[in-house]
Amino acid sequence: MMRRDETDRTGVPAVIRALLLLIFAVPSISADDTCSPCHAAVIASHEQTAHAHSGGGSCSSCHGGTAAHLSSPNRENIFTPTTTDSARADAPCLGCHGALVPTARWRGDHHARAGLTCVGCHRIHPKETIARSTTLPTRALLREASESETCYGCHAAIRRAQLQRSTHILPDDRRGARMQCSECHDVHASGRDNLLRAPRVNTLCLTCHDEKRGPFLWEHGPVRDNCLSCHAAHGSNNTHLLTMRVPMLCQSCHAGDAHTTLAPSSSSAWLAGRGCVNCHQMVHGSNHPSGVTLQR
Amino acid sequence: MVAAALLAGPIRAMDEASEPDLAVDLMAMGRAVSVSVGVPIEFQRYRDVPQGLVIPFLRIDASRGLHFFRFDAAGAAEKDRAVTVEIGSRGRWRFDARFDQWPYLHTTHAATAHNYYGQGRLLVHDGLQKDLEAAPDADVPRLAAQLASEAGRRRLAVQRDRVRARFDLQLTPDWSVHAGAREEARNGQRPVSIGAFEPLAGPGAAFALIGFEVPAAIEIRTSDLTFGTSFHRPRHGFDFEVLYSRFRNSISDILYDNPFRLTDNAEHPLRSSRIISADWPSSTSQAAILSGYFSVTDHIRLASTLGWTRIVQKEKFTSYTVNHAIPSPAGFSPGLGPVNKEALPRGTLEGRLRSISLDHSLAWEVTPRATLRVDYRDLDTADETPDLSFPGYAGYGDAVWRTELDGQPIARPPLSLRNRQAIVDLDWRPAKPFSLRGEYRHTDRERGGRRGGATRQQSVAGRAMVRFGGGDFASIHAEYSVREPGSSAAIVPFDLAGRRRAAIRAQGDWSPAGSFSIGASVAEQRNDFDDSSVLRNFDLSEAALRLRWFIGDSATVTGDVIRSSIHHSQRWTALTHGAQWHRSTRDEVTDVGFSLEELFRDGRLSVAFRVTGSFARQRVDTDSNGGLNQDWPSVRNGLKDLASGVEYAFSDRLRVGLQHTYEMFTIEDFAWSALSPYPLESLDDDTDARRVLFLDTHGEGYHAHQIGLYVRTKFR
Repeated sequence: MMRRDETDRTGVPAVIRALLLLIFAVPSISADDTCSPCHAAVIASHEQTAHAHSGGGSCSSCHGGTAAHLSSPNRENIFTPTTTDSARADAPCLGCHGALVPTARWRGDHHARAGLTCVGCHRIHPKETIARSTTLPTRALLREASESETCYGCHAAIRRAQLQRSTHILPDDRRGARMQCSECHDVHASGRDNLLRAPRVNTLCLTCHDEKRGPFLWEHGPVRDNCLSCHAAHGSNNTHLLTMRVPMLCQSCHAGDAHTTLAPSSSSAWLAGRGCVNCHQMVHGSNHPSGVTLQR
Repeated sequence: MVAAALLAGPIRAMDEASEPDLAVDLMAMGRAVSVSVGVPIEFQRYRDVPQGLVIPFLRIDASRGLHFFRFDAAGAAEKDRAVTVEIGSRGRWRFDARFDQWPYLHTTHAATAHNYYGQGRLLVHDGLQKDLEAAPDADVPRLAAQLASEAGRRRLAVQRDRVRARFDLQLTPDWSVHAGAREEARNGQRPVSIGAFEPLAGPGAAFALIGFEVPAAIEIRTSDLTFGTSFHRPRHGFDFEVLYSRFRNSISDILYDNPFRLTDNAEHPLRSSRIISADWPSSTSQAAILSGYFSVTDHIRLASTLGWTRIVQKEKFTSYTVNHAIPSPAGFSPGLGPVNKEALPRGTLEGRLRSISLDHSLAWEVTPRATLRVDYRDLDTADETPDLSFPGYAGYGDAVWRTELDGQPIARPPLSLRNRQAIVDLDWRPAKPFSLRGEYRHTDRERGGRRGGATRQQSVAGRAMVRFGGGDFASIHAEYSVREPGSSAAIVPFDLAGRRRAAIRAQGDWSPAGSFSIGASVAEQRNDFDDSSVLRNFDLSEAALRLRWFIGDSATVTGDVIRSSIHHSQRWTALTHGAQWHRSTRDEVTDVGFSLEELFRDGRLSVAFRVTGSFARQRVDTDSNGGLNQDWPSVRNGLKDLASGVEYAFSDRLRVGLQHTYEMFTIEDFAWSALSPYPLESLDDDTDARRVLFLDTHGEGYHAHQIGLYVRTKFR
């Protein structure tokens, strides 16, 4: 009868483990005794990470066989994800993190197809910097001190939003990003445009802004269609992340409906404060029997 | 060999019996904050920056073998704190809980005569209404200004507190189940504006604008429950999740006094002394998502997702009005008027909204050099709410009963939307380092219950890329799309009917030396709406340049410049005299950033400097062939941020540092700058704005300094 101890802690029987080891295992190299003479600094930084304290194994767990490298130490004869082609670079990571990022999903999705690899965003051997030492370290071993800074590496234009008059990238004490990109984007694989976490933009927005999910007695058509009809997702020069200034935004559809066609000057009462929303305050929808004009 | 490497580490680790491990990482800071202006709303709009002793973060990690405990706290002493606790056993189970807070500051100095009496009731003293109602038009400005100056000032802010928890149980190496919960509360006050036109004499006569803002209370709570299961293997797997969400608003309606009117009157002059407005309705929602993937062969992968969502809203309606002067309209039951809820055709909306989404994708490595991806997406949102018609509504500031709007009876149209999309995307790498990509996308949109009907869009896109090895690449991406004209030219922006879009983006990263890299991107997008009667163009331009330079092992320099421009032009025709206007609006934003970090004394001493600046300007130019016309002043805002710090590492366990941050925010916006609680004098008389009162919620520019002395200690 098999004792519990003979089963590994994820339920793989010892016999199968032994078989796997027999088939696949290469001699495991202990960092301390073999690699540290040349790579002391790298190993020191590795010791600070979750990998070193999560049973993540030794250098060879990710870098593969080391025999050739030991006999002739150079970059070419050791597996390094940063210098290999993208098809092979992710294999060591996906081997353990396959449940988080299923290989089949990652390889067909946008970031992988754009040639990005795990080490494009994750730094397995992080380097200490002031930015890192004054910020709560990310657990994801990201290249930069925060998730958003890592994304800005390629998506530089999104950084602009962080400093705009209205921003979705809510700032922390030191103007870093408090709200991170992964709140809305599944960077590993979502199968959707812009790697959104939800099948619709509105579904995503209404997760936090659920007061606007209705359904309302009087709906505002564009709101039900797409929040991005009126709002910019990341940042805007206008208040409330609006894509245009009011009243121009409203007048893009409601030209000549009932009101003055055009406010003649900047000091017009039509433009003060929230403009049209001064009266049509329930612009996202109204549940009032007299709210057909979205005023109640 | 790679597979061998993958398996060796974890398996060996599982064999090892580990010693207990405890790590603590703590940063404590003494901070001083100085803000130069009296109303620094923008400084603390989304955050809390207190002075004194603060704990920017504390991390505790404990583990023994596969068991772990993690605790993270950021800003533990602040109103925007985030605390996370994770416990579990690797490969077996995991529980994590997170508490988050977000403040949102509307203003620190709202001026209002309204007092809050709970349950959404905002009332003013009768004497005030009496004086303002009785005052001749000429005296209203003086009395209103006096009211504004005597009103007490108060802070309006909303605090969002959120707790999320999730439990994951790994039943086998491939199969797991999870359960999660979220409880979120939003409490505070926000400015709500109420505005209406009072017909002064009779239909067709002049109107007077009545407008005021009130500090409306927010008492919202959201509860979510999630259950799911996942099965993942490298070649196939699935996820299934169900979600129940309940949104509760304790304040279903807001009742407020009209400070300018004491009495109700449904004859001319029309007026209403008290107004009732519906707040966001409580609702529940259920959702289920099933997604799966399957590798047919080593080169063909299929993935599908089926989603179903239902939202139910049964909030009780309030009455048409609380204006008792409006007589019972024809057709109402005897004894019932618009102030009686019993007169409504139904007590609640019985709202039901159902969405079904279906996504399929096929990724096929046709040859080692070509990959094909085909996607089909179908989203069907149907409003299943029973039809609802009303005999009329209380209009013009709840002062008169109206039985039609724009010639149409008062009926609720159920809105529906179906969006179907097919995408074919071919990626071809004819020879290293070149790759080409082409995409064709077809979109069908069908709408129900709105002026916007069906639209159809075709788009093609192509990308050429050269990969030089490492991270170096250069690419160019172009897109052209045409959307067929819709059924109504008036509703272009959300319908996007008739839009012709041409876009091009060039991007590249280059590392001429291993220590130096430079990246650049340029993008142009043009959207023309030839069939629109209003919106004519919507164009975007963007350019970004960034560089990073590692100078030896000790210094890092980064720099970036981003310039973007959004331009849109619109055209209007006057209803009465045929004059036309054309308005052009251009938003320009320039961002610059530079940072330097240098290490001295074998890395023990670090010095860092960072400066960022955002300069934004909005220009509005108007011209007309005969109508009253005036250009508007530019709207400008800017945020400059300068941060510097020095840090000394006494050992791996102890770091001490000093940091300073300077922020300068500037803003000029004619729509807000001219506002005070009583804005008559700063507003033109294109309408009678004598009876307008604002809360005075706008913020001003500021200069702010933060200086902090910190200690960071890590020990294990």
